[in-house]
Amino acid sequence: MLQLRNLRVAIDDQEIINIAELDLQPGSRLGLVGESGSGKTMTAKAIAGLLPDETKVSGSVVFGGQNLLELGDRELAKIRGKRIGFVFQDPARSLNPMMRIGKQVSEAIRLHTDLKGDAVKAKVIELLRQVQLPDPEALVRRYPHQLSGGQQQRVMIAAAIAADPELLIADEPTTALDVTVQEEILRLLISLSEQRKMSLLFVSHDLGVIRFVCDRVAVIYGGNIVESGRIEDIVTRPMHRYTAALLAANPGMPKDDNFSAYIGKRLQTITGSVPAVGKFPSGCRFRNRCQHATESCSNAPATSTVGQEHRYACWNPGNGGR
Amino acid sequence: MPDTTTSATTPASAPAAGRPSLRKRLRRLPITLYVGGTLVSLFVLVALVSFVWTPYPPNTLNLFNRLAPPGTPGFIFGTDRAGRDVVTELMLGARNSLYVSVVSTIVAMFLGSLIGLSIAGSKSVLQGSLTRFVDVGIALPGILTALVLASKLGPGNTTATLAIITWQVPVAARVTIGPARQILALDYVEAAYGYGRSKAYVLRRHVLPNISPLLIVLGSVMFAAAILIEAALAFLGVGVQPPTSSWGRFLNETQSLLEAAPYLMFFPGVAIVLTALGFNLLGDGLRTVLDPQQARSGLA
Repeated sequence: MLQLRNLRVAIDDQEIINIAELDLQPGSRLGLVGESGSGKTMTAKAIAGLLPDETKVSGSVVFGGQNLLELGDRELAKIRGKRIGFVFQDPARSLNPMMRIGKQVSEAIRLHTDLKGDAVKAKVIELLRQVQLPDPEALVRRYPHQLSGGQQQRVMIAAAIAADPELLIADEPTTALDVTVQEEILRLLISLSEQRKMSLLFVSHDLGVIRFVCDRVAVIYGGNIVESGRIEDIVTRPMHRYTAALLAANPGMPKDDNFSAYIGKRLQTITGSVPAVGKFPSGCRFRNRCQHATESCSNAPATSTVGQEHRYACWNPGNGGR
Repeated sequence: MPDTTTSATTPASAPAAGRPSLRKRLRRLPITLYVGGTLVSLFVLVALVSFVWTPYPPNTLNLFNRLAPPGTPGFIFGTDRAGRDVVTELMLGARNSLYVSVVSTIVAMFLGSLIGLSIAGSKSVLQGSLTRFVDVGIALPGILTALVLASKLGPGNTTATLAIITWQVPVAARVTIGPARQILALDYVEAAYGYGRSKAYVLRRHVLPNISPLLIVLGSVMFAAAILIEAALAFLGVGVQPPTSSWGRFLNETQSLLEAAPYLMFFPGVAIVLTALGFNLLGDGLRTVLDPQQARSGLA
C-alpha cells in the first residue's frame, strides 16, 4: 500500500535521504530503526509531506496508487489526517496549549468527515474511549497541561486515528514517556492496528520496542536502508554489520531477559557517532565505524537477498558473531 | 491514568486543592497593573462621562472670567484665554483622545497582525525581503507622513487617525512576525498539518491564539503611542481643528500664555503624561501576568 522508490531528500544540495526501495504491506507493521541523525524522522515526514519547503524531495512515494510527491498542497491535505495519520514524538509539544482536548481530537473529523455538532462530539468521546482514556466526557473540556504525558500521547493517537486512516505513522511515539507508560502505549498501538486493519509505520531507535510492535523492520543508516525484512529474521540473523552492532548494543535483545547473564558484562558500543551530513565516507556509509570494514567497502555495496524478503547491503555480511 | 480518577467526579473547572485564594492571587499581581489600570480606567471614565455631563456645555465662553486662576469659584482649575472652563476642556480633550486612539489602534492592530501573520506564513524565500519591506515602513518618519497626509486631506481627526495607522501598522506587523514564526516551528503546528489543516487555518486557529498575550500587550503600548501622537499632531495643528477640544491643541494655546498664566500648560501636559503612562504601565503589568517567561528575560 505504501511504496517508496528512489526517495531522495536534500537540503542545500546535501543529500540526506536516499532510499532505493521500501514497501509497507496493508495491515502490517513496519519498524524503521536507526540512531539519532540516521534520517528516520526525515523519511517519515517526507512520506507525509511534512518537511519544510526548503527541502527538495524527489523519487516516488506511492500510496493507494497515487504518488504523494506529485500532489499539490491541497490534494495532500485531503490525504493527510484522512488516510494517513501521524503521531509525533513529544505529545506535550504536539498539542496546542491553548486549545481544549476535544477540539484538538476533532480537527480531522471536522475536516474530513460530514459529521456536525453533537455527532462530532460523540465521535470524539468514542475515540477517547478507544484509546482507553478514563472519563472522556470530562476530558474533552480539559487543556493539555492538565494531562500526564501518557494521557497526552493517547490524545494524540486519538486525534491521528480520528478519520480512520489506513496508515498510521508513529514517529518515536514513546521516546518522551517512561517505560511503564511506554508499554501501555505500544500495546494500544498494536491493538488499534489489529482492530482497524490499519498499517503502522513505526519509527524508533529501539530495536526492542520495534520487535515488540512490528512484524517487519527496515534499518536505516545515513539516510540509506541498509537492511530490511521480517523482524525475527533480522533479530536472529542480522546480515548487515550495522544491524549486528545495533543489536549488540541493546541489552534487552539477546534471547531471554536473563539478567544474570548481563551482570558484570560490558555492553558493546558502536564507536564514534553518525557523521554530519556530507561527511559520510564513500561506498558503504558505515565503513568508518565498522569493525569489519575491508577495502571493498569503499565501493557502494549491492543489495543481496537471503531467505524471504530479507535484504541487506553489506560487503562482509555476518551474523553479528552470534 | 491515576490522576484523573480523583477529579473524575468534579469536572475540569473545579480548582485543584492548594490553589491560592482569589485575594492572594490578586495581591500577587504586579503593582504596575493596578496603577496603570487605575489611570486608564479614569481616562476612559472621564472621556465617557463627557458625553453626558461636563461642568459647562462645550465651548461656553465666560468672557468675564478669562484666565481665572485655579480655585476660582465655579472653575476649580480656572479658565483659559477665552474663558473656557479648564475641567470641561480636559474632559472634552479626553474624549477626542480616546476616539482617535481607539479607532487607530484597533485598525492598526488588525492590519498589522494580519500582515505580520501573512509574512510569517509566507514561503521562506520571500520572508526575508517582505520583512525588510516592513522595516522600511518602520523607518518612515511618522510626523512627516502626517504632514504629507495633512497637505493632501487637510488637517483634522481623520488625518490624525490615518497618520497614526500608517505609523503603527509596520510596528504591529514587525512585532508579530517573530513570535508567529516561533509558533509555526512548533510541533503542534506540524500536528495540525498532519490532520490535513491548511496554513491559513493554522495561522488563524493555532498561531493567533498563542501570540494573543503578546498582541494584548502590544495593543496597550500602541494605545499609549496613539495618544501621544494624537496630542503631538494636534499641537502641530495637523490634528483636530477648533472648535473641537484636544489636549494637544490646548497645550499649544498655553504656549503664548507662558507669562500671563504659566500654570495653564500643566493641565493638558499632565493629562497627556498620566494617560500615556497609564497605558504603558498597564502594558507592562499585563506582560508580567500574561507572558511571565518573556517578561523575565526582558523580551517582548
